[in-house]
Amino acid sequence: MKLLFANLIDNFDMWYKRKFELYPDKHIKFLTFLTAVILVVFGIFGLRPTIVSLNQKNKYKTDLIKVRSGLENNTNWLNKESQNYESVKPYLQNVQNAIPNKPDLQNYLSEFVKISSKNGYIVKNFKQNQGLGGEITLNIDMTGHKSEFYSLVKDIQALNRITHIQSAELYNDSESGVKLLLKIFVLEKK
Amino acid sequence: MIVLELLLVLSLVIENTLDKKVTATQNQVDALEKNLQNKAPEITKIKNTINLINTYKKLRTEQPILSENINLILSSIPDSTILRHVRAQADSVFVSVDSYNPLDVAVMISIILKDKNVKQIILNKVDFDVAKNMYNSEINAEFK
Repeated sequence: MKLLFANLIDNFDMWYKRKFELYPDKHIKFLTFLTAVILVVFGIFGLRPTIVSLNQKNKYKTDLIKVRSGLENNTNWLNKESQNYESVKPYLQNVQNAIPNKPDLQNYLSEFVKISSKNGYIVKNFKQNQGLGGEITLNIDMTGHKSEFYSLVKDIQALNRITHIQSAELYNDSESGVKLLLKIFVLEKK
Repeated sequence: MIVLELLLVLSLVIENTLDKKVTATQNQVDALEKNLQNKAPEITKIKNTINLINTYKKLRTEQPILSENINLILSSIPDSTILRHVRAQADSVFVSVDSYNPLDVAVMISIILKDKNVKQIILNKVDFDVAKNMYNSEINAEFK
């Protein structure tokens, strides 16, 4: 069997050499064609997928680098703001009192009554109206003497809780008093 | 053929290097993400504080300061004049006074006009009350 196989190969070899000697041009053409086919096949099925895969991976890497850069920026921002936060922390309570995160009208009214009585005014009427954007409008009627009107307005402006005086009206007819239209604020969460 | 094979080998080497780099970058991204996720409560706290401080600054800047305008108007009223009504708003103060002498109002206006923050003064009306023998004047001072 082994001998038969060896003979077969020898015969084929001799036949090929004979053909090669007989038709060398044809043989060169055949080899050229074979090479071209191999190149095309190798290019399409070997090189192309590798290049496509390389390209995709490179794109993915570029995207990853962008994401990493964004995350690094966020981390840097966080570190910087953490330091800032630590430095403002002792004063935060004052700012929170100026704009609390709930209406907390009881405390405001109590503080308001205190400064009113200090200036000789008595709160007669107190109406509240919750508006948009965390605004609370207050209509306040008071009785008291006109001489302390300026001082009263000044004290209201200086309240811990930020108070915008929309209008302050002093009347001095049969009885003397003050009407105030104020705005206070509640911090809205974003 | 050799060139092609070389190209293939080269591309495989590049791909391998790229894979390593991608894996390293991916690990870094994962670590950074995890770090930020762990700090989520801190981020919320900081964002809320920034919001609080910005709102505070905005409201303080927008706060109308009426007291100085009121002080100017009230201090300009002569002793002989009776104050009836004052209405102060962000950029104007309206005042109504009774006086025995019309000159008192003129004095008031001249005092108010000396202040450089006053934009204009409008004398709305001057009535003479025969029964009381008094002038009732209404002035509106507008501020810059």
